[in-house]
Order: sequence, then structure tokens, then C-alpha cells
Amino acid sequence: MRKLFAPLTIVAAAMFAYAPIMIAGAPYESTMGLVQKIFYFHVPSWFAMFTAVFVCGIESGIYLFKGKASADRIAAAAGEIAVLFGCMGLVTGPLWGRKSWGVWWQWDARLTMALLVQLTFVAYLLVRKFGGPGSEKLAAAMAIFGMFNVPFVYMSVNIWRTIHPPTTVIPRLPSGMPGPFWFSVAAFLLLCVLLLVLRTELEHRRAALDALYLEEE
Amino acid sequence: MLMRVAATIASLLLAAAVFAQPAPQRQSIPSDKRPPGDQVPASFGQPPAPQGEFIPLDKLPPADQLPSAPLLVGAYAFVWIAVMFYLWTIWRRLNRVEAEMRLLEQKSAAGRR
Amino acid sequence: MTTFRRVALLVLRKDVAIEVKSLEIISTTLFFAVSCVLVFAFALVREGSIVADAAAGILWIAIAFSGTLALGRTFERERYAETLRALLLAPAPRAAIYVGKLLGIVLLLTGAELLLVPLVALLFSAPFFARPLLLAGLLLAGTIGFAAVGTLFAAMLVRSRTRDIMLPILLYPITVPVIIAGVRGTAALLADGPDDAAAVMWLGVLSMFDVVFITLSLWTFEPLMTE
Repeated sequence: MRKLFAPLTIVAAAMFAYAPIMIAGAPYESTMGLVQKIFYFHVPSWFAMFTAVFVCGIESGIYLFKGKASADRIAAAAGEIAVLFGCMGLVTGPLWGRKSWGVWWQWDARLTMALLVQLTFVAYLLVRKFGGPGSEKLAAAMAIFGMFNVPFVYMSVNIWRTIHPPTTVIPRLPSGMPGPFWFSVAAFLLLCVLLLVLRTELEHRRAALDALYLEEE
Repeated sequence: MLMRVAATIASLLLAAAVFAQPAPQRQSIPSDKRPPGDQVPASFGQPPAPQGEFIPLDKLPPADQLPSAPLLVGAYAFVWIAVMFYLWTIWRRLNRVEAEMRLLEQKSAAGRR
Repeated sequence: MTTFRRVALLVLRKDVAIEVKSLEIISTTLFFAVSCVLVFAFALVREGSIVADAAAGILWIAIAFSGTLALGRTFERERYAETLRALLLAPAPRAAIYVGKLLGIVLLLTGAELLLVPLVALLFSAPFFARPLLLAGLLLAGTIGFAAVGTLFAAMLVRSRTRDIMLPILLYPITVPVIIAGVRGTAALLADGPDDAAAVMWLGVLSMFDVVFITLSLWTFEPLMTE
């Protein structure tokens, strides 16, 4: 498994290098023009973010109910990566919105809830850092609750119809767009997995260091 | 003590000077005094009326449309920079942990001898 | 009565008994809620009258802020007397302890709301009593949702050094759906022609939130409270 890391990194880098070429070749969207091309990075960022959120939530659940320390380490890594991809989504979104809606931010359902999930996981990171003893469990609960908030996020656009493009846009993309889109999704998910593996490795090393310190005493 | 008093008085005077300035006048050259060939549309000096609602891009007047390219480039650049930054922080933290581990191993090796 | 119900009601009775004796938390929470309402009123007044729809928002913000304080204070009391550990050591189902504390908090907040709603209605001339049942439903569902998550987090944070600041940091992102649904539902009821359908829809969202998060909290209370 470890041996796949280096070749997969090269694959990911190549995908990211090739993606703009594919994206440039995709047709223009009729009402939004050039700026719509942000879509090819914006939506995959959120896909990656929600993947990280689910990984974090599930691993937190395993840690809480089964007590496996390795699950806690993966959860910690996934939390950071969720915040990273969330940041990307929250920056690329307004850049797109400024042009197509005229405003940087709208308090509509999808944006608000996405911001909330981001805040939840920033809070997760804060708890891990400043929560004091026993903060791993606290953070685990936070991650689980955050994960269960996500369906509320997803449904919010459909219940509360708003200016944000609805979720049904993706299955009905005009021809020429699904190719670059799904390629970008694959690239982002691969990146997410690679970063997760790397960050978890850091946590493992830290745990090994702690074990060494304990042995010292 | 004297320095503190002087500094306080100086900052108060500065603040008073800043706030006492009259609001800057908007420069408006009457149209007949402008050199020929320098005609600008009448709406140039005034900010456009704020948008009340969502207007699709093709219906907005060209003067209101933002250039897309900087936004697009900015978005992609941010994504790449964010990933690079994160990788750098991981690399930094990994190095720190490795250094500590080596230190600890040296100490325990020294202790055992 | 089953053990679960008995334990939950015992915990509730204990909390109520302590509170009734001193009225400490209810009175301070109430006063804080009133000052909150006033601060927001001053902040949002424009030319002598309040911004439209602000009454609903102010009510729910006051509930959220005073609820956070009440949660902190209730568990501070437990921590000070070290009764939480005693409760956890008792041979009682942990989930029942959680339910008991939850009921106590809901009772406390409901008491505060009984005063807050007429006050906000008075100060902002808002027709809160046009649809009293729906409003009561919204407030109850919202309070239960907020308290469900808040009780769990406050109990978890009892042992933490940074509990005072951590509770709002953790609580607000999770409970913002409650605030949104509560405010939108209440605002729908306050509109010129009260929009019953919208209010019922938001009540449905709140109920769904309550069910999901009470289940989650019951499920996670046990592993969280064990050392």
C-alpha cells in the first residue's frame, strides 16, 4: 500500500497539470461565460471536503465506540483536510459569485450551511488544540454531529429554493462539460486521499514519539 | 513622563488635524472647458445604481460587467497555493517530529552506555 | 416505572429542587436575556422604529445566548459539587442522566421564554399571539433541539479548562439550523398575513433536527462520559 504513494502522487500532479487543458477545451456556459469555468474546481473542492467530513465523522465514531486510537489519528487528519478543501470552496465560490451574481456573498441556504460545516470543522480543530485533556473525545463528538448536519446542508437548497444552482445541475450538464468535470472530481478526490495518507502518517509519527517519551519516564 | 505627555498631546493634535479636514470635493470639470476628444459619458463620474435583484449576465450593460479572467485565475491560483501551503506545513511538522525522535534516540543511546 | 424513566425524573427533580430553593440560574438567565434584547434593540433601531423582521431574530438570539449561559452555569454547579462524577458512578443508565438534565434545561429555558416572548412582543409591537399554538410549537421544538446538543456538549466540557469559550464555539455551528428554522418560522408567523404553511414547514424541519440530534446525543453520551 505504501509503495503506491509515490506513483499516485505523480498521477495526481499530472491530473492537476492536465485539468486546465481539458477545462479550456470545454464549451462555454451560455449565461455566465468564462467565469463559469471556476465550477470545475469549485464543485470538486466541495466533493473532496464532504469526503473528508465523512471520513472524519466515521473514524470519530469508530474511535468513540471502539476506542481504536488509529481511528482518532485518521479523524484528526481528515478534520484538517476538510477545513483545507472547505477554504478552497469558500474562496472559489465568492470569486465566481462576484461575477455571476454581482455580490461576494449571499445569505442563501446552500452557502450558509456550507459555511456552517466549515465552522464546525474549524471548531473541531480548535477543540483538538485547546480543549485540554480528553479533548479527543470531545472533538470526536463534534465531528459526528458535524457529519450529521451535512444532509441538512444538502437538502437545504431543495427545501428553500434559492439563487444557488440546484443540485440537479450536475446530471444534466451540457455535452462537453461532464468530461473535464468528472476528471477534476477524480483529481481532487485523489488529492484528498493522498493528503489524508500523508497527514495520518504525521499523526502516527507523533504518536510514536509520545510512546517513546513515555518509555523514557 | 514628559515623553509620554508629549506623545499624547502630539497624537491628539494629529487626530484633530485629520478630523478637521473638510470632505474632499468631487472634481468636476464643466463639459465646455474640457479639451475636445476627451468626451466621457455622463454616467462616468457617478457610481451605478445598486442592483436590486439577480440580472443574468447578458442583460447587464457592458459597463457593469467585471472582467472574468482575474477572478478565474485568482480562483485556480488560490487552490494551488492552498495545496502547496498545506504540504509545506505537513513537511515542516514532520521534520520537527523526526528531529525530536532523533534527539530522543540519541539521549536514550547515551543513557544506556 | 422503568428504571430509565425513574432515573431521568429523579435527576430532573433534583435539579428543579435545587433551582427552586435559590432561583439563581433562572433569575440571572432571565435578566441576561432581557439585557440581550435591549442591546439588540438599540443596535437595530433605525429612525426610532425597529428594522422589519428583527423581532423574531432578537427573540431567538436572546434564547440562544441565555441558553448557552444557562447550560454553562448548570454544569458549573455540577462540577463545583462534583456531583457529575457521583451521578456517573451511580448504577443508572447514562442516557437517563442525559435525559434528566435535558429536561431540566428545557424547563429552565421555557421559563425564560415565558417572560421573553411577551416582552419582545411588547417592545417591538410584534403580533406574537396571532398564532399562539404554532409559536409555542416552534419555540418548544427549537428549545429542545438547542438544549439537546447543548446539554451533551456542556456535560463533555465540564472537565475542560477552556469550557467557557469552548461551549459557544462548539454549540453555535451545530445549532444554527435551529436558529434559522426558528427565526424563519417565527418571522413567517409575524408577517402581515401570517404564513401558516411556511411556519409548519419550519416546524417540521425543527422536529427532524430534534429527532436526529437527540438520538445522536443519547447514543454518544455513554462513550463520551467515560474516562
